[in-house]
Amino acid sequence: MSILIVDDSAGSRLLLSSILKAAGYKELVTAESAQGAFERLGLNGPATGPWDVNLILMDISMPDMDGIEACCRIKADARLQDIPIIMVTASTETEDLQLAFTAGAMDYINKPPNKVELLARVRSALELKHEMDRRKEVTQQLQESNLRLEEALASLDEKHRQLLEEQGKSERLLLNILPQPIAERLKQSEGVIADNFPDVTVLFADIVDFTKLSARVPPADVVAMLNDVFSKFDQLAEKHGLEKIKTIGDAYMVVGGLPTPRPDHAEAVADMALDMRGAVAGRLRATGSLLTVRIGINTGPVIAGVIGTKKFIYDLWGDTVNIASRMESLGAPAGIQVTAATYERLRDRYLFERRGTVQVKGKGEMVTYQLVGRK
Amino acid sequence: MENDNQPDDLQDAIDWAVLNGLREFQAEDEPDLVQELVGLFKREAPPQIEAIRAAITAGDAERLRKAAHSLKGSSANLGVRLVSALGADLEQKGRSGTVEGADALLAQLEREYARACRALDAGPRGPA
Repeated sequence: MSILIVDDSAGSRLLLSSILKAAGYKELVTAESAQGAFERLGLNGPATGPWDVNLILMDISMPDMDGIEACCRIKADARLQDIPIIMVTASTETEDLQLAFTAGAMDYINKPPNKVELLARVRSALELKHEMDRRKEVTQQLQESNLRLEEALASLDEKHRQLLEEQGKSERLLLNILPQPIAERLKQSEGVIADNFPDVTVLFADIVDFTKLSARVPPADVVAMLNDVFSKFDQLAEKHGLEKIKTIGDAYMVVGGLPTPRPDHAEAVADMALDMRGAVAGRLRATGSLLTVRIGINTGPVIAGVIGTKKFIYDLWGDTVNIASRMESLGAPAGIQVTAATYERLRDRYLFERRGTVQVKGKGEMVTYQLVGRK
Repeated sequence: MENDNQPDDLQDAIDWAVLNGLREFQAEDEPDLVQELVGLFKREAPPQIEAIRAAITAGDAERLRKAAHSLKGSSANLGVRLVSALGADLEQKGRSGTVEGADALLAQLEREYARACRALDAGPRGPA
């Protein structure tokens, strides 16, 4: 907190310094010319004196450069313009004072200096400077914290975006594994899901002579062939609004009427079966012989849900499922074998051939039908 | 005002109240402030007076104004009132754009400066 006194008269400098010192202002620097003041302030090149000059007392009348011009130069320097300047003058001419204020001086005092007046003006100038510095600092702090806030917000935005992206990814993965309503329920942390569906139609399909085939053909080729066929089945399941449950080796399992019940589940599955057969017709096995599927269908109640804690799968349980599987395994190559329950649902609109009875393990003899086509 | 029959008591040359008032600002471990200020005044005033003379000789009213202004200020600081008053008169002359009649004022100023110096040396008149 130093005060710079600029006066060409050593007597004036001594007098002003003495008054200020007696009033407790200890940090005083003096210059005997405008040029000397500029050097102190670092106006032309580096500062030689203390940087923190808080007030300048400037004699108006000096040889070489007078106080008015010196004041103008200091006020034109962005680093120095906040330093208040009090003009010291033996003049009482309004014109001189006018010039001083125009040059940017904040105040003036007369020679000989009146102690009370001098100290009052010095004090108020220093208070002003202090207030200006404080505001500058506050403004700077505000700007800095604003910047930090903006950075934090930007980084938060980015994290949020990443999170949404991750969420989207998991969502897509989840929906690939589970039907959407089931995924929603699991997300709302429902423990075990096991719902009763009194009336659905279950279809199993497998590839005829798959075991023999995989013994002769390289595994990679077998997998490629399965992928090809099952991808087609997936498309068909979607087209018919059916829920694919899973593949088990060379078997494909799909169901109609859940998780969202529909009255025409048997028809939709029958259409699916016919399309599946059509889709593989004409396809060649890797060995060159024709690819055939065997399909079994049954209609009845099932329990559907997700159980366990790992590798979630939406699966079906119940007799209806077991019998559908039997219909497939006991079926004829390229045939679509259905139970009487399914047949009853479809007989009016589809063509069937009665197959007679088959022996079903745990069930005894069952009457079954071959689905041939639509009426 | 001057009377050759009586010794000039010089007291009107200095406003002692101003000069002595400066003692208020004397710092404890510093040299005598008034003495120092007086010393500086005696050193600075002669070149200022010379500058006034040079300005008058050159007929330069602006230079006269500046030089007289400086002397006015430094003498006023110490209560050297008559010198300061004459400095003000000369400054005014310069301001009005002429050096005409400044000679006489300068002569008067030089006399008063000499008296002021003697008065400063002698110090204030003590109680009789």
